[in-house]
Amino acid sequence: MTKQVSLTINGKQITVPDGTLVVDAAKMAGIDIPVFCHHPKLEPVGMCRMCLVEIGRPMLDRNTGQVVMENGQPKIQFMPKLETACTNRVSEGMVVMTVSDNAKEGQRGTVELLLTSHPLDCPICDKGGECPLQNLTMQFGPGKSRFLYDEKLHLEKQVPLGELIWLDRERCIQCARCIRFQDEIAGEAVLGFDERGRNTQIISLSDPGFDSVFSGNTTDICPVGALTTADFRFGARPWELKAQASICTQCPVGCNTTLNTRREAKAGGEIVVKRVMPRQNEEVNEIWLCDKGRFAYHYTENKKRLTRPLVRKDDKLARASWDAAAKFAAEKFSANKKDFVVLASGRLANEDLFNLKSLADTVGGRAILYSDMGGGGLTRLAGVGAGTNIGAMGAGDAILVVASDLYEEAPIWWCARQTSRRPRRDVDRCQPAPDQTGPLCEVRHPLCLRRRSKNHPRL
Amino acid sequence: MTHILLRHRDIPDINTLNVYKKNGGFAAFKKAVTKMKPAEVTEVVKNSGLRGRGGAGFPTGMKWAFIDKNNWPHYVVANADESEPGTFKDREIMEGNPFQFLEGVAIASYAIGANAAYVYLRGEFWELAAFLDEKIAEMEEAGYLGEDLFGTDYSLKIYTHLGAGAYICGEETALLESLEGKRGQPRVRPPFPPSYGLYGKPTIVNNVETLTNVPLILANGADWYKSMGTVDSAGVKIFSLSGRVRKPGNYELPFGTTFRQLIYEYGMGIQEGRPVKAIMPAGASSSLIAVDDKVLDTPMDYAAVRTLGADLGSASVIVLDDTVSMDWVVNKTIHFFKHESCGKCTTCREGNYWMRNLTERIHSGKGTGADVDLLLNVAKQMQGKCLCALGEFSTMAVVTGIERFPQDFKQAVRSNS
Amino acid sequence: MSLEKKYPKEVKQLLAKYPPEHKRSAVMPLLYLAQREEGYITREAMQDIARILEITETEVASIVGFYTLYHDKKEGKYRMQVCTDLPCALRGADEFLDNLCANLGIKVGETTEDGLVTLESVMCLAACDRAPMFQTQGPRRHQVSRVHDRGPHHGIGRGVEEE
Ligand SMILES: Cc1cc2nc3c(=O)[nH]c(=O)nc-3n(C[C@H](O)[C@H](O)[C@H](O)COP(=O)(O)O)c2cc1C
Ligand code: SF4
Ligand code: FES
Ligand code: FES
Repeated sequence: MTKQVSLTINGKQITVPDGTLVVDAAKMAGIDIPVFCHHPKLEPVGMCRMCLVEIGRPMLDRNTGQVVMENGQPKIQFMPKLETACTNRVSEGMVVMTVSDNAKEGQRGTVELLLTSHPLDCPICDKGGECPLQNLTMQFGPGKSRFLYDEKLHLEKQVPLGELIWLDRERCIQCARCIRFQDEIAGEAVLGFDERGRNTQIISLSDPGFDSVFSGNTTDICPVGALTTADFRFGARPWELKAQASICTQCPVGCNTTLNTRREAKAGGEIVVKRVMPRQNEEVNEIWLCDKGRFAYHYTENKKRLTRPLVRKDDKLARASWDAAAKFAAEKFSANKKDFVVLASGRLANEDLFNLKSLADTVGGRAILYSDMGGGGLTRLAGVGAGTNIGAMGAGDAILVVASDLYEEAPIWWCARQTSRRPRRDVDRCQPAPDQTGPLCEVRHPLCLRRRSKNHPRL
Repeated sequence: MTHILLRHRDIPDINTLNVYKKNGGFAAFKKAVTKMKPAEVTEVVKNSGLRGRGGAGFPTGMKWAFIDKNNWPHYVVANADESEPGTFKDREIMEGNPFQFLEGVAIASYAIGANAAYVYLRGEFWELAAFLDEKIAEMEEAGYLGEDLFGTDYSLKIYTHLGAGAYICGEETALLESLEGKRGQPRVRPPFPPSYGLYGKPTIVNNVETLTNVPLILANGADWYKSMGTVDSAGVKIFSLSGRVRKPGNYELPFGTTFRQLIYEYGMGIQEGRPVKAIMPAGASSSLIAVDDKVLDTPMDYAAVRTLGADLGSASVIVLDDTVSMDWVVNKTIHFFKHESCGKCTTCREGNYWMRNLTERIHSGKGTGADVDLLLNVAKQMQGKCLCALGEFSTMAVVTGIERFPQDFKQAVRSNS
Repeated sequence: MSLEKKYPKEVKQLLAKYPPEHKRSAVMPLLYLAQREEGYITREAMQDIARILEITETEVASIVGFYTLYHDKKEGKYRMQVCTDLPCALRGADEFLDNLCANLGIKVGETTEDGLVTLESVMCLAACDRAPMFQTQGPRRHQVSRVHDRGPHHGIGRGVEEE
């Protein structure tokens, strides 16, 4: 077990694992330190300067190395400057103050500086209502601007980075979350900064633009309305949406999703899906979703899609109410118990398959479930199946991929594979695979010592 | 006085291998490799009191001793980025006395167990890099670099690497990022380079002038070096003198030389015999010192300059006379910092953009007293909140300019106040 | 023709300076190599470099964008880079630049009609004792010249070609 250390944050004593970042430790104590560039899934960079706090550590005697005591308490030596909570790690006896006058003044100052360049166009911004910059401005920002409005820097507001993602250059606060996500998590460094200083701007030179199957995630982690999806842009306000938990059925990963829906006049008052967002599940997809999972839901809008039950009568399909249809089906099922067979495709979520199996069981029928998409029986033999914690994969684990192109067929697993290869603070971060098929096999295990070659195209 | 660093001024052609060798060249490196343990070399440097000449003045031997011995390989990187406005000493050293500098790099490498060293030169030193490449090749030819040096199993290669126009790459972690082929933006410190440097490996970054001191310290001993300069600051320093003096240039002098001596004895006084109004002792990053007799008679060493509310830094002394108004100076420095801000941290990126708007407005006569107050306030608000020292530097002249020369700013905004 | 084909020897030499697993370090020297002929870096060259170093073109472009001595647009064949930073400005750099503009008939940032010279005002060049002065950057093996401290009446704007 990792060593535990005790520290005090805003007078509250807590014990957390050694190595925890101060910002995360505070969160464990129920204290929110405002952040922009910090993201729990990304390496700390300390660039936005939002998380400024006061940090003190027990003073050590220069000669003896012993903690200096004062009135029976360890004497705390505070750093002369404010420190970033997102880069400092906890240590025994540390004292952190996140709401002292000094810290608050630092946080206020950072928000003020960020806003000097910000267009403040919240009323027409897609992020409005769920925007960290908006929220932190309300919480920490100055109420009045000291920056001359006429001196604001004007930049392009509608830049398509690729087919799916749009960039508003004025809103970007240069936190680099999107760039770092593409580099560290997606392993496809197709976003970067151009220029420097106040001219720093996001660019993508890939062909096609923003060439990554994970691009949608950048819009989730962008703390402002700089990155938006072509799909949701000007589509709805976040507060009009209902959240519906769901599972993505595009591939065997089964990413957990949230469907954001609302009723629309356009759709005849029907409920429509406005966007699909990842739902956190650390064992499956963490907080990510591939672009297929995020954008492919539009098939639900297909006019030909069945949305109402139909019952066959005299060889003709006729509309029926849900109740009538259910009753009809129940009658038929019970009438032919013995011959009752359920055939289900592996495209369904495990939950659906489970329900179908239960149904078949209650009437004594048979369920044939094609649940083998992720390898089925074969992977189960190797101990991988429902309940396997993909998120816990890491250094030292052997990954054997057989006859599959993860990038195409199970993108989030590809992503998990690529991040698990990345030891902390190692500068030899794995580079994006030269072609999309990539190294199909991690040569880590004696079982698979041979790299992909002409003779072994899939191993 | 004979020079220790700018020896080309005393010895013609010391930039050729033979002349350098004839004047004791490479004896120190040979002695280190063949007769001394790496730790002993570090010890001598430590005892000499040598402090970093790149600006921060950190004790060099102590830095070398910090190298993480549980993580290999190690690297030495010479900081030849020399981009602080008013600094032009490393250029002269490398042009005039290149072998002594390279020998310093070699000794430092041996002391920390590095088998590869890089010299990071600012892109504008293109010709100089080509020149150093030739000198490095000559050293390899002569057996001072390469495999199995002097019959031992120690080997060393030195490479040059050109930057491409970015002041921030003088900051050591930005320099390392740049050397790794990335945007030259500073890293969060700690960890410091001696534990996490080039390619994540323990690395010593030293300024050109710092390293150029090393061969003679090793040859003549720590005590010899300490006998020069002051208690606080041992040895000699090259003062780059620029601005309104009659004779700008590099002057290699012992620490403790006074401003008056530098400006009047060596710089031959001020143009048109005017009085000195202000001094910036560390280039554009300096605080502005309002000059009086006491200031002129202050000995230049790290501690004494601090008593004047400034830092000696790289000792790039910019002299301003009474024709210069501080709102103009501050506008110039802020233009520089806004141009050179790397953009990584909010404070410096946005702060300098804002300050530039303000200094521009004030200097062009369109500003008001409130603008001056705001400028001072913004600068102070930035202090202590930047990711690296560049952001801090940018505020120095602004704050000291407004506080120590309020009259100049009142004058600048008088038509609107 | 690709960079590797055109300069096989140089590319190899440059890569040899850095540990093979850190060949990304060669991005800056390779960019200079790419800039040698046209005086700016083309998209194709960025693609070549990305391929050689196994990084993305975006990563290469973000290096080009960061440093001021790399250019991604065709401008004048030579760039006259006049230092107007504080120490030089204290010794007449701004007036020098004004004279230069008048002599060349262009403003800072512009290019002469014959496409020969682009005029730039730059930050300290580490030669403040020789103010006012400038350096030139152009397509050639040694892309950045030494600093020139000739006064404004020495036919500047003509003589750069020979540098
Ligand atoms: C913005 C900035 C610019 C710097 N520029 C230089 C430089 O051009 N040359 C240099 O040697 N040190 C420069 N430094 C200092 C280096 O970070 C570092 O302290 C130095 O290279 C260490 O060498 P030394 O101990 O020998 O001085 C700069 C620091 C900062 C913050
Ligand atoms: S686009 Fe968003 S995530 Fe990316 S740097 Fe800008 S604000 Fe940050
Ligand atoms: S959250 Fe950005 S610096 Fe800490
Ligand atoms: S200010 Fe021009 S060279 Fe230094």
